[in-house]
Amino acid sequence: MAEDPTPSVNDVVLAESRRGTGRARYWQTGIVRYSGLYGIAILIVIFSLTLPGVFPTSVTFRLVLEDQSIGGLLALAALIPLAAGSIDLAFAYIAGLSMVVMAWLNITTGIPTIVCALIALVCGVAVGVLSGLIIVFFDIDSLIVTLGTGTVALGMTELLTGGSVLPTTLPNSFNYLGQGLIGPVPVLAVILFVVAACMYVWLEHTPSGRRLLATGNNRNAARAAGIKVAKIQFLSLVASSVISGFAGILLLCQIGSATDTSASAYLLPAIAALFLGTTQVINRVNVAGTIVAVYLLGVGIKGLELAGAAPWVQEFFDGLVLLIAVVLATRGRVRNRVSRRRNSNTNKESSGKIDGISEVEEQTSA
Amino acid sequence: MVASRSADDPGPLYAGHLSGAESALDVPPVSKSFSGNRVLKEVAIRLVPGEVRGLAGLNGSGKSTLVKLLAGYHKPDEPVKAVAGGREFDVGNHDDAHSAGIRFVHQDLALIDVLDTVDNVGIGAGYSRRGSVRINWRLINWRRMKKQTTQILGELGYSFDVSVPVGQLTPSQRTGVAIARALRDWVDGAGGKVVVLDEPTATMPMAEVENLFRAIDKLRRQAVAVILVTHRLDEILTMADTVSVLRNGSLVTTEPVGSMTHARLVELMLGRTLDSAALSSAGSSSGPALLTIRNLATTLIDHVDLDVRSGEIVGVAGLTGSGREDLLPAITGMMPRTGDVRVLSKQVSSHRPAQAVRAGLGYVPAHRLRDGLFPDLDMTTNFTIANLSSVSRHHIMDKSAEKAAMLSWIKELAVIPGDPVAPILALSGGNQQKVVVGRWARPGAGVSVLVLDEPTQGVDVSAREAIYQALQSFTSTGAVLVSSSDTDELCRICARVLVIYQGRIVAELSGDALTPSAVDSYTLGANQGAA
Repeated sequence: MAEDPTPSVNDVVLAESRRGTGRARYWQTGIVRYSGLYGIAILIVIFSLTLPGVFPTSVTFRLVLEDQSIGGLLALAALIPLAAGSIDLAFAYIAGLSMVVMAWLNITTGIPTIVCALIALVCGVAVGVLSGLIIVFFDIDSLIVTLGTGTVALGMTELLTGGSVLPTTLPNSFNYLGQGLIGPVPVLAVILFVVAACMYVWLEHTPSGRRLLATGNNRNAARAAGIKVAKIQFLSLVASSVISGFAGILLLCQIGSATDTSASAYLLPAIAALFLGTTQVINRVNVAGTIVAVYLLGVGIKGLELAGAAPWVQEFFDGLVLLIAVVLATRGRVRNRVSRRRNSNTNKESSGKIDGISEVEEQTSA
Repeated sequence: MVASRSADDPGPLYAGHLSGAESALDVPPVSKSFSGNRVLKEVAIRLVPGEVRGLAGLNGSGKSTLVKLLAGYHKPDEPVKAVAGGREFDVGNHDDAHSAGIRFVHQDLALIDVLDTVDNVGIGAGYSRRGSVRINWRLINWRRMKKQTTQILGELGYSFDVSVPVGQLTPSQRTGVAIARALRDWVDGAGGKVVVLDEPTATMPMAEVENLFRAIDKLRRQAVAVILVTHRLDEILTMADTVSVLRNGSLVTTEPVGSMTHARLVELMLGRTLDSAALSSAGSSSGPALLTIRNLATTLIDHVDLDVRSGEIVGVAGLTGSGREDLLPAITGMMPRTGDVRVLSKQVSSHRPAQAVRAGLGYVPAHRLRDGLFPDLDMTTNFTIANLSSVSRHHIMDKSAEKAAMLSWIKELAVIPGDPVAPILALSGGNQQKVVVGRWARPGAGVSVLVLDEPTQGVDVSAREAIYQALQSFTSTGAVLVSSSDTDELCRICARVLVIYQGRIVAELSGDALTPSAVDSYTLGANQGAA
């Protein structure tokens, strides 16, 4: 069937698609797609040349992996709600709460550390569930709700620490999680890779991940396509809180003591990495791009640190890279929009010509 | 109170239109073509102050092209100078038309729902400021602004609290706010006073229309010329002083409403006398009813019953505001409704589109970009999203099966580009629509009833044919319900067509009785006026 009645019209459309949108779109993704990987390579070359003997060592390699693991996990935690279309600000405070709950239980009670960790995780997830329920049932913007629930979590964190450092004595197995190495690779980095791999498979290769992305991309269309958008939004916040709570526990294992600000300091860097990641690999929220972004920032900051830069350079670098990447990616999108408009004008005219009346004109006014 | 302007304006007079100074608006013959096809042919329009002019015509008659020319959205083929209140302006120039005193109240009103009336009027037309002429503090004089707004609305016959967010106002009050915004914007002595009301009652319940009429009447007494564009002929007959009828881009006539009847107006719009052909009963398909609707009601739909049987394509016709646009969203549960909807005898509740999809109902929405597409996802993802279990195994996507499904659809409907991972927005509107239709019509989608809203809106001719073919072959296993504003389309692809008028199904046409003119006349309410 679909014997094409007028091949000539098709030829015109085909030529148009080749000339306009198609090529521009692919060209853009080709260049920007892996710019983060090129960036990492360039940074490694530059720092190796300027800091020979200091930068290109196995210690630097290990430190970059170690430093970026918690931040990377938290970026992945924030990724899930963002992929479902809601911005989550609570993830870092959830991590902080879990971290402090575990430390507090470890210090004040004698219960086994593994139970402390589970209770801590449950506390973190409770915050995620609360955010999800409020957002779904009262239909309030996620940014506001998670700001509220996150701040409440921060308050509870401060209550438990009382403003001081909680030094813990964790069993060796927990210390190994936070500080151990598997060959040259920190255990934390391995955990990050495993979580990232699972999330990658989930988002890109399972029906439920597909539905999550669809919900985030166009909620109306997702609903019309039979997706239960509210349920997905709720579950995305819960899943995010599980990873955040887990990251908080690992952070305690890594540094051995808890303060009320240790985890919340990750909030903005993780969001920066997440948004930087949306410009990489695929032009939307995606796991691989987020991991590339995390290490692009990590390598740059480590190099600057080793070159003797002051601590403020870290924020400066984070912000600058994010801005450059987003501007580059947006430039591509603007160009697409222009060529798309050109394409749609052609359609409009061809339909008007053949139908005798310009129906598009009539319908747009209706 | 706004007074009638002086007729002795020193502005330049348009040659040959010496009476121009007396008219509120005088547009000499103007034409408009789209790619060589003339959609507006030498149409002239002249209004005197205080005249309410109805503008009538079928879809595609050139009605909205004329309005868009006046608004400066389109440019005429030949430059044309028109006169409004003695002030000359270029037709097709938005700023010129604005300063000549022509105001538009579009159907969507363009109000900001969260702001109150004072702000909505102020943002559109400027706020009253504090201070004198010499010292301008750039601060808003809220008290004066509120008083003025209340006064303007009072002159239109409205008395409601202007500090309530406009989202909470009734439809006619909202239209009042939009008119007030237009009125406040006029500078006395500069140009005419013309308000174009484009389909103001389209989404308005009947009771509200009365209030709007009162406001239009007040405008008339303020010597404002009003152009009323509406599909509802009764409104023209009750409200307008004169009526202009457009047909196929030409002005058929301009006559006083006093000598006009509903039947004659329909006749003028259709260009032929009404064929009062007898209704032949359906009987086109004897298959089992796959979609059964009983007592369906929304704010615009008044208890509709409807069956769609296996193997048939049923069409729904109706004008803007007749309730037709609500029907499919209400069936799918995207829009709140009451009544009983069954898909394959499984009941589907309101507010639960997911339930409807599981029962086997596929929905192609009217607004493709807003409700149909996932703009950042590729073509294949857009294609398979409604039924992922058919392209996955053990909860893992089977990408090769997915690609194969896409490729076979690409081949069947000649989708361009034929690259399954092409970004959906790289496709033309027609090709996007082929993908959205395929989402439900593809083999393996598990859909038995497909309902489509404006299936070929913004779709080029070759894609249109491909979509019709796809619907036709879908009926071999399922049922199709098409809601469309394109009468020719309905008559071409549907075995029977239901016509909705004022929220009710007033006619069911099939067989020989199913002709575009019959459908059009019923959508205009002809059986009430002419029978």
